[in-house]
Amino acid sequence: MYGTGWFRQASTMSEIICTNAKMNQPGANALGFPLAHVSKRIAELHPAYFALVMATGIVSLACQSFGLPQAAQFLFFINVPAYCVLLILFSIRAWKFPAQFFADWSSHKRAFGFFTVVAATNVLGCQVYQLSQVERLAHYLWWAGLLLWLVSTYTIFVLLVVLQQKPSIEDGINGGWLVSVVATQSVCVLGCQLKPLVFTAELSTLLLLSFWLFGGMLYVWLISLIFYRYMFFRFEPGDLVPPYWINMGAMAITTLAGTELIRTYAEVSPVTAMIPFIKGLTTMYWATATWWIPMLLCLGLWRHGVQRFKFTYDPLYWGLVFPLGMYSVCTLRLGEILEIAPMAVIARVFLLAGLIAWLITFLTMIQRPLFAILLAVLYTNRSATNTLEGKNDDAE
Amino acid sequence: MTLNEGYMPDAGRAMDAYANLIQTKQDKQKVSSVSNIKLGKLLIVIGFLVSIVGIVAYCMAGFTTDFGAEISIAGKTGLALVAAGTVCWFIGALKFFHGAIEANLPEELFF
Repeated sequence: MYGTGWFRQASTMSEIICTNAKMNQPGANALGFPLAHVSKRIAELHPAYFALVMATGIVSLACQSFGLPQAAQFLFFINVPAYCVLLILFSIRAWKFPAQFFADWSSHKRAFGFFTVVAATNVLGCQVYQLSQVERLAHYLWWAGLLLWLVSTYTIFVLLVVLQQKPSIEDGINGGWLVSVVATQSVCVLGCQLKPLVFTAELSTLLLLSFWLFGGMLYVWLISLIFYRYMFFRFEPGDLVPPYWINMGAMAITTLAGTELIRTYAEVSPVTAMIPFIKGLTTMYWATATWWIPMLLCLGLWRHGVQRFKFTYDPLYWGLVFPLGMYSVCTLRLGEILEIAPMAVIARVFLLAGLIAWLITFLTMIQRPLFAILLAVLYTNRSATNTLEGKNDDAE
Repeated sequence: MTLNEGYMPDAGRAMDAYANLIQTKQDKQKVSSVSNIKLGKLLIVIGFLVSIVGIVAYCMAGFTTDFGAEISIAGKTGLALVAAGTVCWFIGALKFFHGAIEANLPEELFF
């Protein structure tokens, strides 16, 4: 009955068996193992987990843009508690596991994950503004996003510069670094929608325009290093982590930020004088995002199809969902500005892809909590049964 | 002939019967675990597929209706399919995990 190779791989050394052995001890602590399981997961929590909020938010906003309000509202109702739960989990991690939490800030592989907090805050702000019209809360989220951007940017970049032990470029860099671009542009996108007043209207416009330009500058620096790593270093299937899709997503949000600047500040100095420049650069960013799509699809095919790399859930997969939703929104907005109607068709295809990718990633993600709950239930039941049997034996 | 029969025939037979009973119980549990795993996997795949069909139906219905208009019957059907697929997936995942835990599969095999 254990005929397939899949079952034969089952090892008696596994954690689950140890758990079952513990379960059979009469009077064992009913919630001991499940709590240890949750605690271990919190200790290992990836800083990039806020990509879940980014991805859910942008897919929701894309649905709203295409007249699918039910899906948009549903995703919004998932996103608000998701953001709050992640904030709580991050706080618990910082409090209970400070060594792991603070080590992440100076890790080349994980530090850039903290930029997802900035982007998630701003994407949630866009949702709050567009779907619930609570403008004041959206403003708070923008200011929080701005503050988080300042902290993340000038902590992570400074720490990585002054670090004594540095990895090689082969080990240190990945597409996840471009989340810093996404975070920067997210401040610009929400800012363009809310038009916050920073001293004067012109100064506010200049600030948002500068964010758009910072993001473009960062992209050029980082993508050069990433492309260099692609071309001149050995590339294993395991190296092609999902955040490589941010190569495209960073360009997509930069395109969206450009279109928002044009839509909102076309009449305000200094944007007025730069409209042709912004339009041209925005189109170039969109073209770059588009260029990445076949490339990333081919690499994905090579990873999973040719090299047979197993698909297992990783929070980093949210970094793949986000670019799909973002590309859909930016293509729609650019099509409106350039007055090219067929771009809306491309945008619809990507919205569909984004929704499907979101559902698959979400269902795969909730497998772990589901497993933990089931384990807790079985564990409790067995402990209760064993305790009862133990008492019966004593009575006999 | 078992080891125990040489010096204590009755006790030996009783122990053999008890061992057989345990063996049968364990075999039954293994069969149940394997069937749970197989059924769970099937339900997960069906759930995914039904949900995807639902998403496509809902989006197509939304794209063809006017902006801000009431959701059409096709759209409602699409949403119902997404919900049904998700429930199917959920039941499948529960069955799969239950079977996997009972069969003592290592965690890395099913995530």
